[in-house]
Amino acid sequence: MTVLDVDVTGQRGEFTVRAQLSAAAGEVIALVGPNGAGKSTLLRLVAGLVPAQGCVRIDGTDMTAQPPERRPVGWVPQQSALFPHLTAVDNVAFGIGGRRARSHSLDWLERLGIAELATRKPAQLPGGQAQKVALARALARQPRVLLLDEPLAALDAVGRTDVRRTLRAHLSAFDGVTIAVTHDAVDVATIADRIVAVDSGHVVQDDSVAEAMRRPRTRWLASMLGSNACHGHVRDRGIDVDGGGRLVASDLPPAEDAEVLVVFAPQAVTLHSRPPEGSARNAWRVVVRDLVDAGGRVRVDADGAPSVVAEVTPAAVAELGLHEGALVWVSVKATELTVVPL
Amino acid sequence: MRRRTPLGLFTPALIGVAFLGIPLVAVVAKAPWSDVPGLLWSSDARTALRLSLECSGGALLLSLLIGVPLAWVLARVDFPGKSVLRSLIMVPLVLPPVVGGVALLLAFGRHGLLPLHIAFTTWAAIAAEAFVALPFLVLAVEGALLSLEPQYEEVAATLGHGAFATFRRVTVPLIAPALAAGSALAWARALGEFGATVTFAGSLPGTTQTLPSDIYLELETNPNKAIALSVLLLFVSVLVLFALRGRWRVSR
Repeated sequence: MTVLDVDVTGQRGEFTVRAQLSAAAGEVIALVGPNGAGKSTLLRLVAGLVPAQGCVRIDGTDMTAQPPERRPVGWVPQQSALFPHLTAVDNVAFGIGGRRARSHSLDWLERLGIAELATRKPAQLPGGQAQKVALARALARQPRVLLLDEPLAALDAVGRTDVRRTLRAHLSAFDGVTIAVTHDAVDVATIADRIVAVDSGHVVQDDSVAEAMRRPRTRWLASMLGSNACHGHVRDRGIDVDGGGRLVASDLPPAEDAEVLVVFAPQAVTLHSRPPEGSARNAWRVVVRDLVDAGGRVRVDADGAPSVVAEVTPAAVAELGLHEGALVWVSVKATELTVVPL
Repeated sequence: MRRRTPLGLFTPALIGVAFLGIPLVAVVAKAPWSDVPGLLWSSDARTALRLSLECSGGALLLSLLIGVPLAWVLARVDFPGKSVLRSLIMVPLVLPPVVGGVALLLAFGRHGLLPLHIAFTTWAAIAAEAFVALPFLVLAVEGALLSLEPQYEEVAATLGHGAFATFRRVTVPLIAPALAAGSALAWARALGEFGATVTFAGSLPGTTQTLPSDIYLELETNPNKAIALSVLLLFVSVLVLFALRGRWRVSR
């Protein structure tokens, strides 16, 4: 059953956002895209905080002309925005009317595991707990659409894990639609069922998480999800990479001259100190630009045609004598390349 | 390296301190302290004091009723001519108060543009005091509204509250410190108002003769009483300043 159906154009300053999106009950959408792509503006359009042309339908009712207070929408902005003059429980009760508002709010804090913080003011709450209160405040109104603007961005690693667990538990029980803006591949993988990627105010991809991870359609999304990606054109049974280089892939789309995005994982990239021999048909020279620790592994950023990110063990770094400015060979098996027609 | 304070700057600064400080010290030093309680307790002094409190309180109330919505409109609504309107509201800050009184007389006096028949009544004293006090309140409240994160009001809207409920339950509590500071300043300004009040309301004992006009008239006939009342007003001013402790800033 379709809960949210959006086809809107909205203006924020000089910037125009145009988006079409529909979502069924229970769906959790990760809204991703570069800074300034229009993610927050899209949330504001749905919430009614930015005037929209077009159509915003919730449960089949046209909400386009309704002000935010009449829409069944919960919004949690980036800095949680708890009212500093109200305690946690009064913050939650603020959105619910009637005599039972307070006990109802306590129930919600209980459900999110923070009932003992009910009488604290926001200034006395750690970031993660404040975010949970903000979530309780939005959920307590039983909205049909829940909008989360980077719910974990302002938190430290511990708070992030904690709030992510809470989110996962409560979003799976939530029967409305959730749209969560995020920059974090872990959030996408653990919370969302669907990815909507936006760029320059437009939706550029709308797929299930699994499909978007396998076949991202923009370089930005590929690199957010931790993959290598380069644009190119199919020529003569291979791919000429824009900006130089040539790659051969096993699954090649038939159309000659088709524009494609070639995607491959950093783990699929092998480094060599000499020109590689054997089955890897894609091999080229690169210059190491940067070496970054990635939790026990080492991420190697290297410039070349095309530039790549590789992930290797510290032992391999020592063995190959890698350092910034080192000249090495990289190879990627043709079977490791995914070719996404654009 | 710490540089020595140049004498060419230090001397004028010291003169400045003396220029501001000596008159205040003089009021305290010259006050007939043994007679002060009796002078302040005399029936006409008590009448003037009561009237002053009523008028300044009324002026503060009036300023809050029209000044807070005005500040909200200036801070939140976009319309052409806004900067002109803002300058207009600031006019009483720089206008000679006596001119303000004349203007009020021409506007709301018996032969004024909009005759309200309030000239030379207590209402006129309240109006004159509100006229000069209003900008202090508007400036403080508008500054606070402009520096308030818009997210709080937006969240309140998504939580089901209309614009007025949001203003009452979210905006006002969040700007409470600035509102208190602006109120204190506006009230102090109203309490000390003289020029506009005598011009528009006159100086009728019991009806429009507030402390400042009482002081002015008594200085001729009973200087000790004038000094005693001055000590009282000086004390109130210092109290207001102390309560604010530099919290008031005109911030944009």
